[in-house]
Amino acid sequence: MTDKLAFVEAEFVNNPEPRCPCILLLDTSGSMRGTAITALNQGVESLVEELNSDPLASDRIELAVITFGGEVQVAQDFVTPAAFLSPQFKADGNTPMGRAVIAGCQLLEERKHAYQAAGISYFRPWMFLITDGEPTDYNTNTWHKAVELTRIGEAAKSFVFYGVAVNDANQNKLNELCPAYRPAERLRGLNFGELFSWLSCSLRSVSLVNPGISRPTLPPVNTWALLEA
Amino acid sequence: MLATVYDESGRAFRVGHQFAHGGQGAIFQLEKRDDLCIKLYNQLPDAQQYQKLRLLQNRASNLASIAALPVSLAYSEEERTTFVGVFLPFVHGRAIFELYSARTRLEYFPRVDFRFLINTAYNLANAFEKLHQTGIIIGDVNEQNIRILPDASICLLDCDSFQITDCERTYPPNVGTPLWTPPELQGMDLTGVFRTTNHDYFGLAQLIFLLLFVGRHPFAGIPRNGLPLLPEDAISAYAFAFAPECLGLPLQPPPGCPPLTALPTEIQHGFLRAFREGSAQPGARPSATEWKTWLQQLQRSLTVCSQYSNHVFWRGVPTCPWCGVISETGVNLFPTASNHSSVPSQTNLSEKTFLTRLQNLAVHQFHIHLAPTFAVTPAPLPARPTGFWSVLQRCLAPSRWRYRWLSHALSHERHAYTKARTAVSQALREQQILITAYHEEFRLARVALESALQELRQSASDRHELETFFLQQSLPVYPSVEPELPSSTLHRLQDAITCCEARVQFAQENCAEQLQVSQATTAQATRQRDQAHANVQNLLKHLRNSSPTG
Repeated sequence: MTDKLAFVEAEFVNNPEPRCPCILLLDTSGSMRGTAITALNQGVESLVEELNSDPLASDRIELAVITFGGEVQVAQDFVTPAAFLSPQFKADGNTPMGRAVIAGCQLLEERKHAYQAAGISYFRPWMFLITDGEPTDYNTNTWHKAVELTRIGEAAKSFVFYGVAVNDANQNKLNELCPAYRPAERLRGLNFGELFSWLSCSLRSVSLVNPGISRPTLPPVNTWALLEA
Repeated sequence: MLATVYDESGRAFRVGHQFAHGGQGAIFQLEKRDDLCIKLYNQLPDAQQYQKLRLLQNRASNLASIAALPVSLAYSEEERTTFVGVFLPFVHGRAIFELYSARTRLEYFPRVDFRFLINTAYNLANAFEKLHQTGIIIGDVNEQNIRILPDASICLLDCDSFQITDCERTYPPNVGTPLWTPPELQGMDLTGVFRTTNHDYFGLAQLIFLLLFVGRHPFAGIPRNGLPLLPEDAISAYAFAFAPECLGLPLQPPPGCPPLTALPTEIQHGFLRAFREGSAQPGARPSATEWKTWLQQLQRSLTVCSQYSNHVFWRGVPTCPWCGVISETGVNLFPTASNHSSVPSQTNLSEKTFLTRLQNLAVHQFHIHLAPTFAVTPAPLPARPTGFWSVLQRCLAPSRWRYRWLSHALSHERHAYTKARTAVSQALREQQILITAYHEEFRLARVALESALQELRQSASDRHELETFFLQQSLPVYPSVEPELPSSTLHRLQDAITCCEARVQFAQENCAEQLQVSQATTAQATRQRDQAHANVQNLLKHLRNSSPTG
């Protein structure tokens, strides 16, 4: 325990830049098998690559990955992109989406405590959920707790929640997690590359630049989202 | 995309790879040119922006060393009818955030110590001062548009957002970066907002803070009440995390970095003036000129740690703050470059070498330099008074007229002479002070070594006791094959001597450098004194000639 604390501190001493934490909640259930999981793996890899090519963003953005396919796993705890070891996700099992959201909130809270203890400031964290199915823990206590956590988190501005629906995902159930003013977007085909490129741009603009106005505007989602007519 | 562009004199350039992009356009390399690049605009600038670019271009030659201002406008065809962008000087070096964060500093500036960071801060203040003097306000100060060169000189990029004024109007920057926007402008739409030098001084103070506190943001700290603050909210709340606790601000300093008190009082107060409530008042924040003075004073009052030769710090604090960070977090923010002492070399660990090195640690004899005598010619006499009464007096009472003519100049010169004489003695005293400070530093370095030697003697005597104990117990003496002293102790001595050598050498170089400046001042003052003296003598001679009794 003490060892871990000392390690985290060293990282913040060497790089005290403010952090922009982003947690990816990725659906790796059985239905993602085949081209979908391959495209997702490539997408995450390209995200890390893009972030790494920007020297200031790579000091500030921290990524974590939680997968939910059969069980909920922390595939990658928060690290700067340079230390991100691209995990190869495998598709298997059911879709415990609610449990994944709860785990994400916990991981995020822990990270925020580490920032506060080290005196490192941080931008509003992002929680980014991608799913192609339907939560197998729907209408359980776990699900209700997850919905409650995202609702409180959004209201208290302690994170920004994005939902992305792939293929046959149940968008209505996903929307229960999303705030009403930012409903889930539907991915066009398997355009993970464009999706993660958009995410990289957005994270960078949140943490770095400001073209003219004080609140950065996010790039349009039309490169990857299926816009309803 | 364009393949060829033309400058104002019709010369053609081939456009190479894109290497940066901003809100307004993208920046490309030029083939076969490493001194120039080109910024091509997404949307062609309107008449106003065009005029602004022209104004900036006119200042380019004067400010070339500190800002990458446009050197020429760029056109898409030889006839120069379609304006497409600007030619900019290509600036090498690294972005400033790659210098102030330790992780990247060790990668791109591996050998530098605290002095380099102070020098950079000084050069920044100098650049701000120069730009303000020419009527330019930077506006969008941020960590991405300042480049640092290997000699600690700096160059500002993205100059088309500078605020510049011509006789008719002021062109505002229109952009800003949240983390760098002063509290009074936070949350505002910055389009059309005119900036002041006081706004720029917020950015300057932040930059200097980041440099002197190795990447710590002045508004990032531990929330006292447990409620975290987003970076921009902390700035809006004037929550300077390093402020004294009695001010009751919501943040306290983060762990793992030196306290504000590790720097001289003037600098501490400077940061408080720049960041605290009330700093939005025009003229409240320290100016670039003030920072220059303080940083120069800091540069002159540094010392080297007795443990690590790369730890340079203000000598007003009793212990090395960088060692403080090591004991708190285990992180060495200024590790010694590999050819220095912290990685002890395995060879040449004989006591004889140590003795030679110890003997070589002698104090350098510095002397006060008096300036040479200058051959000066006295200044010409003041112009003769004209007018009817003067001519009349000159005819009737020539000596009285002469006295009135010359006496005013005489008293003026006498005053100048007294002043110059004081300046000379002051300059000589400063030389004395520098030499005394050097001797004191040398003594302290030797004292630090003394403690290491003491420890060594102690360990030798411990070893002797241990050996006696082993012999009494009829046990084999352990370790029997070691040299007379354990190698770890020898390494410690070696480290201590290396550090002492580095510290002494640092003090000597510093003293020599500052003495040189002080000697130049002495010479200048002496010349002024001699000149004034000659003038006085000359005036007296003329007065005496006219009336031997007067």
